[in-house]
Amino acid sequence: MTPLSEISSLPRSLFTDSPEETEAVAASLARLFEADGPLPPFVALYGDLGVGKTAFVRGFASVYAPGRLVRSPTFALVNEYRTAGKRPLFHFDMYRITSDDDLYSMGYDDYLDRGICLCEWCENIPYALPEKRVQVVIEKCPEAADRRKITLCVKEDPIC
Amino acid sequence: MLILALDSASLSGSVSLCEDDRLIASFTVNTGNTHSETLLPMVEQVMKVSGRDVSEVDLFACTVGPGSFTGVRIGAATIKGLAFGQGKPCIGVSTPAALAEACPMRDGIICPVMNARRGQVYNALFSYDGEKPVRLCADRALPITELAARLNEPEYAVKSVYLVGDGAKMTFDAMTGAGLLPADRLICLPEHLRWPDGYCVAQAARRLYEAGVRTTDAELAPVYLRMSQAERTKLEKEGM
Repeated sequence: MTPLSEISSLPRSLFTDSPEETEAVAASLARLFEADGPLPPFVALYGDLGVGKTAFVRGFASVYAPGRLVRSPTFALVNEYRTAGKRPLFHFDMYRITSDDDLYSMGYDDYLDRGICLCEWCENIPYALPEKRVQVVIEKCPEAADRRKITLCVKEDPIC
Repeated sequence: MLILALDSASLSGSVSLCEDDRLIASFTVNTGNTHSETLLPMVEQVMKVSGRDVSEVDLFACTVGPGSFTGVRIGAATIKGLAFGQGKPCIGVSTPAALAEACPMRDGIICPVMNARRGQVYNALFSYDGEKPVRLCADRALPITELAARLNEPEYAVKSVYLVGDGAKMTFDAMTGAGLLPADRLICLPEHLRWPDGYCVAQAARRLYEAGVRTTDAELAPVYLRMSQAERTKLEKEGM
């Protein structure tokens, strides 16, 4: 039987009950990236503080860039995880970004063509997201403290 | 006069060594790699195959923007460092001005367009006077629709428009697709002429030098040309 966290296609909506399970969902998404290819190379993450966005990135990186230490780049704004023979994985945190000039001066646009981007706090940069992207929304659930609803889909709507 | 010129203001990188208007050696890459890792090795190779030494260079030059934030910084920092080390002048060239140098056509309007993202391009307009491009407006960032409107103004309306820069194809498609400009007025320069080239940077810098410009490493500064918050808010209100 396929584990609950295994994603075979998008869109998909599912529940997890621990950070480890959230990581497993993300690892599954990363495998989908490696198997299928045509998924857009930008993953937009949405969700409140402590909801598990960084856990999601950790899970993704465990497949795509194994062995790399994943931490939320709240102050560095972007972390780069490199693996030989693959395009780099860029891990953004837009929590402190408040304007387009902030984005420009972190070199955001320069990263977009160069690798796979996983971006936390996309709520802050709606105007700057690529037209085609994978959208991941993580929400807390009222029934249990550790329960999360994760909704994954591919967005193709023009932004600008 | 020996000129070492480079560009790293967009995705591609280019380094050229020139003796006045003669090209000695050139190294251009469009690999998507980080300029901070490729630019100095390219400078080293260009000097090596030319059998010249950096100490012989009379003038250093680079594109100073507009363009990619990191790219512009890497290029400017590199050329400032080289010029400081040798105590020689260094001249910053506008990226659109360098792009305009690449246009082999001598009629019509030369229209450099670089992808500034979010529907905008970095742009300026030029026309040729004999062998040199003459600037018709200042460097700017503007939506493609607005650029089309400018190109339809009476002074330009009947002329051919030569698109050069990494946004050439995108601009061509956007303008012809929406019927903003007739396809027979728009010409995309061939791919190999669309990217900023070290030789063109050198020639634009040489013209500035001959006109008396003597910038030092301390004075050379990047030009980011970002819109002000007020302008952006206005555009958002207008639904752009």
